[in-house]
Amino acid sequence: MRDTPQDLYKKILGGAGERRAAKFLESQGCRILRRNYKTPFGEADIVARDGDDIVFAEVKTRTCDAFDTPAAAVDRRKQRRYADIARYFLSCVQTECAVRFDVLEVTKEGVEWLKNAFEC
Amino acid sequence: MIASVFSFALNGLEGIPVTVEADINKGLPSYELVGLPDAAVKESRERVRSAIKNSGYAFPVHKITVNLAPAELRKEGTAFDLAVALCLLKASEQLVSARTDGCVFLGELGLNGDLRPLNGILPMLISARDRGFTRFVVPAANAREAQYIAGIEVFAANDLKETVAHLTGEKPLPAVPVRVFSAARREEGEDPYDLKYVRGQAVARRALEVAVSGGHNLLLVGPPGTGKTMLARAIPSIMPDLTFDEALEITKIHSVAGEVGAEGIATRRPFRTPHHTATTVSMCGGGSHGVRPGEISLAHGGVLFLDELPEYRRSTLEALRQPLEDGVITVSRAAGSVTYPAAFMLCAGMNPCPCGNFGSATRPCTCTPAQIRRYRSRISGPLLDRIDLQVEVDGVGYDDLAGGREEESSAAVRERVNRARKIQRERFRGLSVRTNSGMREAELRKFCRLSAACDDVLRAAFEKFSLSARARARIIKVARTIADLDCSEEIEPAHLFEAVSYRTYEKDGS
Repeated sequence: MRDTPQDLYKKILGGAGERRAAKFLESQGCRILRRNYKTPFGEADIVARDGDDIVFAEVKTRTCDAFDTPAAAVDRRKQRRYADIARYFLSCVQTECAVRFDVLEVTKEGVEWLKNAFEC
Repeated sequence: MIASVFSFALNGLEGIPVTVEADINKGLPSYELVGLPDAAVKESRERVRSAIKNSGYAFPVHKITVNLAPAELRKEGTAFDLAVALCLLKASEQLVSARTDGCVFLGELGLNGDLRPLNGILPMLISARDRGFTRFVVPAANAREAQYIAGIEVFAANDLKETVAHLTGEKPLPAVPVRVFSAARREEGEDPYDLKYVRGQAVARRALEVAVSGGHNLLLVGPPGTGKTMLARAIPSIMPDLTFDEALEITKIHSVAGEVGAEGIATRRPFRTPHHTATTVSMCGGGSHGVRPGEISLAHGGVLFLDELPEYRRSTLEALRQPLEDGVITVSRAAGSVTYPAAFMLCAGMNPCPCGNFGSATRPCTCTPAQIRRYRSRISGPLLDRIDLQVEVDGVGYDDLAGGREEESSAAVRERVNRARKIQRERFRGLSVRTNSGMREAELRKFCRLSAACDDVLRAAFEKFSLSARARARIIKVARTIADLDCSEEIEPAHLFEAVSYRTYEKDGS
C-alpha cells in the first residue's frame, strides 16, 4: 500500500472499524483470540471463540451506503483465503473444532453481524 | 454423527434402491455431495439448505459429506431432495425420535420446504415393492399415481414439516387409500371422432375393426380428402378397454415421461400422432438428459398413427422395423442401455402418388409412372412387409355423403372388438402374448392349425403374390383375428381369403 492521503484514510477507517467490531463481538459474549491474525496465506481481521465455535471474522467498514452492501465485497477469492487461514490456524493449535466464517459490517448505524456468511 | 435413509433412482422402468448417507463432522464448514450426481442432483444442496431453514430447522454449519450409494450408479433428477434433507436433519440430531428405517423417501423440495411432484413415481413404487419395501413418503401431488398399487403403505406429504411431523409421530399422515382399477370406460362426453360420422368406406371400416381387434398394423392409402385421417382418428373410440395390468404397464412408461393424466393411471389406450418432422430419437427414445421413452414406447398398448407416411424421414421409418417385430426397444447410449416396451399398433395414412389421385375411380392422376415409383419407394419393402392390412380408401359418392343414413357407431364396433379381445385373452392365458399380432412361432403352431382347404388357399396366394415367410405368418395371424371376430374356433378359408385381400396393395400398382 502506498502512503497517499487516501490510503492513510482507508487504513485509519479500517482500523477503527475493526476495533468497533471487536468490541461488539465481546459485548455479544465472544472471546477475542487474535486481532489481525497474520499467516503466510493472508490476514484475518478477527479470530474469536463463540461458544464452541471458532469464528473467523472479516470486518468491512463503510462510511456511506452509496454502493453495494459491505458484505458483497467479500468475494470468492477472499473466501478461499479465509478457508486457508482457518486451516493454518487449526493446524497450529492442533485441535478439531467447529469453524465458522462471519462478516461484520460496520456502518454509521452500527454493526451488522452476518453469522456463517460463507463456507468453503 | 452419521445417518442414512432410503430413496430410489430409476433406470428405464427399473427402480434401483439408493441409500442416502450423511456424515457431519467438526471442521471447516463445507458441503460435499458424492455418488455420481448429475447437475440437478448437485443443485439439491441449495434447495435442501433453504428448505431446511425455511421449515424452522437449523442447517448444520459443519463439514458435511453426503453420499448416494451405490456410488457407481449415475444419479439423475431431483427425487433425492427429501431424503437428503431428512438425512441431514437426522445426522444433526434434530430428528431424534423419528422412525425412518425401512421407509423410502421420494420428492423434490422447493425453497420454502414444499414437496414438488416427480416423474416416474409409479415404476419406482412397483420396483420398490418387489424388493420388499413397504413404506413410502411421496409428494402429495403424486399420490394419485400411488393409489393403485396394493401391498404398500404410501404417505403423501405436502412439505418437509409434514413429513417430519409424520415421522416423529406428532401428526401421522393417513396412508393413501388403495383404489381398485375399474376397466369401465368413463363417459367423457361424446368423442368428436366417431365411426358413425364416417360415410361409406365399408372395406376400410372392416379393416379398422380387424386391425384393432388383433392389434395388427394398418395402412390406409387413398386420394386426399377421402377420410383416411378421419378413419384413423376414430380408432380411439373403438379401442378395447384396458385391463389393469395393461393400464399399469402403460402408466409406468407415461410416468417416466411425466405424462400421467388426472386419474393417476391410464384409463384409455394411448393414441400417439407424432408429426412427420419427428426425429428418430423422439420416435424411438433417447435424448441428452437420460434416456426418455420415445413415441413408440408412449404408444405401447395403443396406437401410433403416422399420417402422410412418405413424408417421414426414411431413417426414422426404418428404425421402426425392429420394434414392430419385437414389441420392445433397447436404446443404447454411452451412459448405459435401457429397454422400454413398444408393443404398439401402427396405423399409417398415405396418398398413392404425388398428386394423390392414382387409382381413384373418379379423378385422373397426372403423375408419370416414374414419379409414382419414386413416391412409393419412400416406404421400404421391409416396412411394408410388416403392415398386415393395406387398404385403399377411395372417394365416396355424393348420395352417400349427403344421405341422412346413420352409419354404425363406434360403440357397436367396440363391442365386437372387446369380444374378440376377450377370446384372445382366454387363448393366451398364462402366456406373455396378449393379442393375435403378438403370437410367435410356437403360439402360431398351437393356435392356428390350418385345414387342408386353408392350406391350399394360402399356397395359391403365396405363389401368386410371391409372399415372404413373414407375410405368410402375418396373414395367418390376421385370419385368426377375423375368425375370432366371427367367433369361429377354426380358421376357415373365407377368413384366409379376407386376410390375403388386405395384402394386395404392395403387390399391384408399384
